[in-house]
Amino acid sequence: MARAAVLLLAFTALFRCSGVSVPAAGDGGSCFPDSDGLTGGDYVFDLTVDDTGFSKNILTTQNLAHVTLTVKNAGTTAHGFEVECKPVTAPAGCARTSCFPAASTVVPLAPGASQTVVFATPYPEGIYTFRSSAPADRAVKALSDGQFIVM
Amino acid sequence: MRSVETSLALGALFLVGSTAAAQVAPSPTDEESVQVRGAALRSAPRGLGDVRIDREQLTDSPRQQTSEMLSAAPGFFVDHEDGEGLGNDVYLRGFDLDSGSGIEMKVGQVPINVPLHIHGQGYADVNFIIPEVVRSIRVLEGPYDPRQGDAAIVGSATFDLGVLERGYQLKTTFGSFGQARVVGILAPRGASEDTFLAFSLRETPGFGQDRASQSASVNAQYGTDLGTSDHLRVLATAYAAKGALPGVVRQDDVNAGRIDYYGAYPSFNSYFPPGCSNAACAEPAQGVQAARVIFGAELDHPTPGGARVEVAPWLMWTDFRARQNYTGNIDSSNQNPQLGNLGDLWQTTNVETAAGVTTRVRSAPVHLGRSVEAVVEPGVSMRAGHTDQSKSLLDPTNLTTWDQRTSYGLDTLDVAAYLDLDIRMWKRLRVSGGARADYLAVLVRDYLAGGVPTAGQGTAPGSLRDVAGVAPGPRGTVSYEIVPELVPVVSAGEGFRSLDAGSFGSGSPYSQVTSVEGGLRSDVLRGRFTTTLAVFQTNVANELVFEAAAGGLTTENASTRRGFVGSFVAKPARWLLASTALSVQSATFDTLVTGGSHWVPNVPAVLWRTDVNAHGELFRVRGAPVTARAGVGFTLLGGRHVTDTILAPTNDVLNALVSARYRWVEVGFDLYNVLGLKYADDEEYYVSNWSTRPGPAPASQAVHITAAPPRTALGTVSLYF
Repeated sequence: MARAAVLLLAFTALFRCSGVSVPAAGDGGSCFPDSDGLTGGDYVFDLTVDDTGFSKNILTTQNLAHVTLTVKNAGTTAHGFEVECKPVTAPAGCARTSCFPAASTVVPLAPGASQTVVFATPYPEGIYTFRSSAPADRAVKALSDGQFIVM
Repeated sequence: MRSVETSLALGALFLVGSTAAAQVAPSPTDEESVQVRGAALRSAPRGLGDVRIDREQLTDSPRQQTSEMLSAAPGFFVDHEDGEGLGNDVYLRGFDLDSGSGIEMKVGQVPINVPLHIHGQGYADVNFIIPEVVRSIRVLEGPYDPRQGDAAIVGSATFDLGVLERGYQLKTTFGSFGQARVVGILAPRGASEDTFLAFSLRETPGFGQDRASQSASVNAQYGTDLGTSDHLRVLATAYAAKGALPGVVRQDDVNAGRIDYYGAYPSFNSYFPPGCSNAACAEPAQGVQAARVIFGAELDHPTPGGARVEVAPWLMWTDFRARQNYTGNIDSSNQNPQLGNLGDLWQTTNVETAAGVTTRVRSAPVHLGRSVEAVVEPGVSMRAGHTDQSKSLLDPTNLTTWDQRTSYGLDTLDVAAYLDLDIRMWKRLRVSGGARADYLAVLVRDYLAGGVPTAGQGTAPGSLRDVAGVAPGPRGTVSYEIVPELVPVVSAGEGFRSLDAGSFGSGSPYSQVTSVEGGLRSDVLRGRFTTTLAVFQTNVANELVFEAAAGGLTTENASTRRGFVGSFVAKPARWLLASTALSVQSATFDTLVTGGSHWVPNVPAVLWRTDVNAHGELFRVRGAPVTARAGVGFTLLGGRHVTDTILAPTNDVLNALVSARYRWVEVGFDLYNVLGLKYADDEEYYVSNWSTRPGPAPASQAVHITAAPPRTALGTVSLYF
């Protein structure tokens, strides 16, 4: 019986020894789920914009990814690039809106000009809307409905 | 449809009711097997899930492919696939093992898993084995045996080949969707059960759209006695398969009637061969092609002192190519950022040539006093291989590569040694186990390193690096036989699985698994009724889950499984065999998420499997018996988390068989999915932009379904001569 008791205690100790790790502070993990468990990576995008739209309507990266984005204006008027903030569900004490960093914005470029920006994608996953940063382009659907997918 | 709760209650009642009366036949003891010439060396059962499943139980309900035979083991479920070339998904103890990548599988002593496969580390497709030549399967759930190597994170399965009925056999099968199969077996009378030659050819147009496949397999084995005591067994197999794949369909498109449940999206999914420019002559862009060749040998040599020596060298070549699109068209080129999106058709390739040897020496029992008996088994093994693997994005219209994501040349070496002790004290207490250590070394040629982002002017893409580490594996089992009807058992152990080449950092090239179980085994009337009840916990250092946007499986965070497995096998009469197994488990990532647990996707919280088979003589005609078999197999899978908040519907799958034989003719009829239910083989939630109409569609999140086969009927005529 003594042996059985020892075995039972050892088994109980082993069964209880698993733990739960807390996400590192500051990466958003304590506020938002990361459904696929993957973060980071290097991504390079070349985007051409003209008076009718962007050369790509969908850009896809992981969250916390390192992105190098080059935007070239091939149109006849000024066009740029920016990503809209989106509302997110989060517990008290966490941000209720998720935004790309300011470094991701390309101010309206003169026709023929190009600019490269480097930034990190935010932690909250989801589909963000990207558009031209030129106010005059808000009325053009194809310049306002791009999708930046953060997985 | 039966609810999870009802089924759970029924399963629990069945198990509770059976505990007092009955149980799964444990592996034969060493005392039994050591006297069988040429039989594999066997030792004491390691854990409550250490079971040898014989031919009778393997065939008690319809199981078309060899991988499906694993469903006969308690707690296992292997999905029924209509196609060929991809390893089946295996569910066991809280794991959803894509293509078997988490169970160490062997045929004889030849390992089947490919440790660093592009489609998942430890990828294993056992369907090159012809089901008719599987004599038995030894299943061990959990990493509790020092003999278990790479990929044994949930357990292991060893296929023993042999043909019990000697002579010639010719089987022809026809059935639903126009599928056909021919099997021929030559098992010379007078030769041992080990000796046979078998071939199998199968072709199916497949159900629904884009599911046609073909396969061919040859299995040959020769067993002979050498001298007065040695036994040699030589195995050769060759297999090739090719199949089209339909890909996924979005649940919202199915619900809206935009696409059929068994359909396939036309956009980004059609290949136009040279000379073809319209849909009428287009071919499915998604598909799989696989091949495998194996040579192996086992020499069993008893020494004059009573020890046994086994040497088993082997050689294996595998070739794999899959083309799959999960997300439609959301990926961009990293190598050529100016390029427009051309569709997310992932091509993964993996070619490996590997060789190895396993050697072990099992001592004769050593008696220490009158109360203690010990058997010692040291063993070594070696596996060396070279792999070329790649992952690229293809333009589906012409199958040209538009972006390369990985391209590796891998040289792998696994050198292992173990020491196993099997000690029996006072005839009732049994302590078995020991330690194992695997030295894993991988040389990685990364042909794309430095290409994106560029490494800098004057630097050519490509890198060479090596990773090495030692995976330790202490494993043990303690059992105490109060009476044969009541044996408490406790097991614990550490296993490991190789990491994928892209995850190699400065650390070790493997991830560790720690597992523990405890429970009871009951054996009544010498194995006629067997019951096991086990609780378990498994901690995985790196989870391996499906990631649609990455085109396959990826390594993720640590996770924990906890659960219960109960099984009951009854042979109350010679003509009746019944078995049932219920497992209830949870699988969660160790990382915290807001509002609750972060569930490992696609793991059923409840898995209940029941098989019943009746067989025997019906009557006699002209002095010869007419024998018949009838069997049913029922599986319930419930509580699968697609995401933390979305649960997949419960699946109830019923299969049935009936056959009759008179002298040299047998006629059989198998029915899969008897209830004709539309259910998903796999469900995933992610972002895609599939469209049923031409032109780009906005991306959105949705549940994506891979359909399981509808009701499938197969008729078989077998000739024995």
